[in-house]
Amino acid sequence: MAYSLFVDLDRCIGCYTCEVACKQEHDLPVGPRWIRVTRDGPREIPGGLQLDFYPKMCKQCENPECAEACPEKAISKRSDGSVVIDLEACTGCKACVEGCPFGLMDFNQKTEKASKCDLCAGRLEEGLEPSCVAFCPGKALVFQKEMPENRRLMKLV
Amino acid sequence: MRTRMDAIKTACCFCKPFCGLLVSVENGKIVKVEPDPEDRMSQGAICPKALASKQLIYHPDRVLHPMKKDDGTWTKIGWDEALDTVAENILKFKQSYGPESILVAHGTERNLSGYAERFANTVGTPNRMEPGGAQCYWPRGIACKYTFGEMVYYLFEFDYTNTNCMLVIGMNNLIAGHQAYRSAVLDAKQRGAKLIVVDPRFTNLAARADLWLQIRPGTDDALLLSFMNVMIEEGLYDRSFIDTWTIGFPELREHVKPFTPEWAEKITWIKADLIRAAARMYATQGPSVLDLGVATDQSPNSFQTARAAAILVALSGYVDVPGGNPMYRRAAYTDPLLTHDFKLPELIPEERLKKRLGADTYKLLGGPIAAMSHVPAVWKAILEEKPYPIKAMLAFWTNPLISYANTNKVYRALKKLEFILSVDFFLTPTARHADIFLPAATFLERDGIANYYGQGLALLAMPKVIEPVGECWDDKKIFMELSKRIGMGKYWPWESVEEHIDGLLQPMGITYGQLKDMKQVLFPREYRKYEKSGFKTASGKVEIYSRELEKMGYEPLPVYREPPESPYSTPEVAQEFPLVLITGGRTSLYNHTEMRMIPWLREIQSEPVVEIHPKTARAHGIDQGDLVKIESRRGRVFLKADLTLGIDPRVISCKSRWWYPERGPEDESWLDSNSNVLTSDDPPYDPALGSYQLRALLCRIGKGD
Repeated sequence: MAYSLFVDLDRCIGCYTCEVACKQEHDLPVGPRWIRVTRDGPREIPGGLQLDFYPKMCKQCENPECAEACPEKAISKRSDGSVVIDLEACTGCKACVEGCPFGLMDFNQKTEKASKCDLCAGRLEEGLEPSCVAFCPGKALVFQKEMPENRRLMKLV
Repeated sequence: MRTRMDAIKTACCFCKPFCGLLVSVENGKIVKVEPDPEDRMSQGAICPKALASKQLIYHPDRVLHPMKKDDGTWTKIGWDEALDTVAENILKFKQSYGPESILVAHGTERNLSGYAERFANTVGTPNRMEPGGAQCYWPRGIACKYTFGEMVYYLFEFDYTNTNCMLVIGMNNLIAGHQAYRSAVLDAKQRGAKLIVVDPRFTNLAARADLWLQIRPGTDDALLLSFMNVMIEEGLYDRSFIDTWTIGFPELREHVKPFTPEWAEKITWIKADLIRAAARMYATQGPSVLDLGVATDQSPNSFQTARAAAILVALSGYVDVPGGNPMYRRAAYTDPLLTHDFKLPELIPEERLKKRLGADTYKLLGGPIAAMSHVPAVWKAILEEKPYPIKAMLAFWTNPLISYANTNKVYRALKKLEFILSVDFFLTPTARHADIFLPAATFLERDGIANYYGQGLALLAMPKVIEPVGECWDDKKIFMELSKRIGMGKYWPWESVEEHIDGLLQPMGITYGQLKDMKQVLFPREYRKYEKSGFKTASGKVEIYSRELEKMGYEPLPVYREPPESPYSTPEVAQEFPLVLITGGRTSLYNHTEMRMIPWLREIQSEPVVEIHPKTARAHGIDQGDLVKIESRRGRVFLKADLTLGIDPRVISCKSRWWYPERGPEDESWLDSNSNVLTSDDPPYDPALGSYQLRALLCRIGKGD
């Protein structure tokens, strides 16, 4: 795929801005959280404690199991790498929610359809980065083709 | 139809830094609130609160019209009737009990508290308060005034962009700091700057520290004194700055001799070696910046603690230099909303000023700088009518039942008041007890100006982007119309808010329209200004030893005071209540008592928790997520357990000031969730400011069900 999304663990402060940025961008109700921040720690390490935060979001899998699980064939992998749901075809059966091995497929109670990160397809078309990346106070999220060097990074997408 | 390209520029007002926003509006309705990439404060990033603005403005529970309460029932009324009723009551209580029987209570300073102060003076009452005051900002600001000669925002400013070493005490600038500081602190760390964090909790900032000093809550004064001891004993202070620009160093040298790291270790629970290492790092790895947060203001030794921090900065010599603590505010410009003249203090005659509650004792709180009443004295005046009764409260954007210490006492006081006005967005637990409710406009529905600091000094326009929803009004218009109705209209002589702001800007030679076009006026940064004009103290130098304070009867050099309720001060209380309680930890999702009703924020953090060390939890049979009963001498609350290694086993930390807006105005379950049920406004108080012990109190825990 064209772009990957990384988090710099030294810069993610666990502020949840990415979560609310996503909610506003996609006008999501309470329920689906396309990106969610995880707290890891404080845990004991030699010489002290360690505490990290990082978000989790749809990994836009190469061979998406959610797509295989969908009886309507409503989920597909696009040429730009993103995995998208055809909302016209989605019947809200939740097979994909069960099918995602990472628990990252959400269900939107309001629309009664499956619901997940599309990497801000609308913003990308305008030449903008995904809202979670753009508004991050710590500049912790990196949206680019190559993995940046010399940083404590975790690949999210 | 608007797109991102033609969004309106304004600034966020959920807290103080006034981050620049781009707001998209369609058909008079806000569709998106995003950060302004061209703004120096937000730099295109923002916190979650601003991004959820829409859900505040269009919240289904927001009250959109004036209301009155008759026999416990709310009725919708028109503005004329509402304002007339408030004015009649103001005049009635002035007549019957004197103007001092009316309390003006307001919330945290955004860009409106200057108006509340002006309005209190217009009403003629010397009694005005906010939950901060002696418990927030003023101890630090006034300590700077007596040390460096002027009030500087939050004990100086913080040049993280150019610093080499950061000493952060009692605050978390990744959560509560200015937006621009967040990335600046992270950048500084990534380029190798040192970070020393003094915090009882292992926060996301402490996790990045080179040295984390896990302090016993409430003992920052002892730590700061021992830092000075190390710097002076080891000769690590800036000799040339001290010799040229300070007075009182020889007295300080003698004064701090007993305050060794070994002495401080017993008090602070921080190992002496670690204290030494931190003092050396701060003194030698500079330029160093010191950042002191609200934590120390919430202690009965608030003023001397802030004085100690100010003097520490002087010892380091990083005063008004790049990478240190600059004094941007010394530019040739003063916030027009915060000038003495704007607040109209001359409307209160000298005789009545003496009636300001607590002002004779807590001179630095009740005096002309802060000009506030002492909160415990206000509750006493309401409950016991001593030395005179307070009968009415005019409450602007404040929720005392949640925000003040000792909730049960506040509740008794509120019930005794004969008249309450509440100006707010929602029927909060406090507003529910009002007689008249006036619906306020949010910051996106009113015009205004504001200052920001931190990235230099700027004056910015905060234009409204939509007309107020429903019948809500700009607070400034409420003040103007109420003043007219109490016969004081000549002090609020403007026909419109725009005309008023034009008047404020007149001395700068610009109009509001022009400021809106410019968006902001930036004032140039200048360092080492003292080299040209000295410091604005009586001596012209940094006053380490303060004769002025001595004359007022306050200690001229900083001292340590053990918190009045603590394992050492009150061992008999500690037998029953063995744990030390913190209730001040902040989150990036909420500010103070606000925003618990915003769905996008509430979904992430849905309920208040108490942080407990697993060892302590185990001893009480408490598991992760269990309901915990937390008791102090004042009362009890029930919060869910969050077990964490990031807290001392002898300390617990409650999420602060929680209530449940979704349960409706009649609900009183905040009596079970608001951490202020546990806190105290009992004496003794800080001798100069009157601050009470809001943190580091004693408590006990047990299973909640």
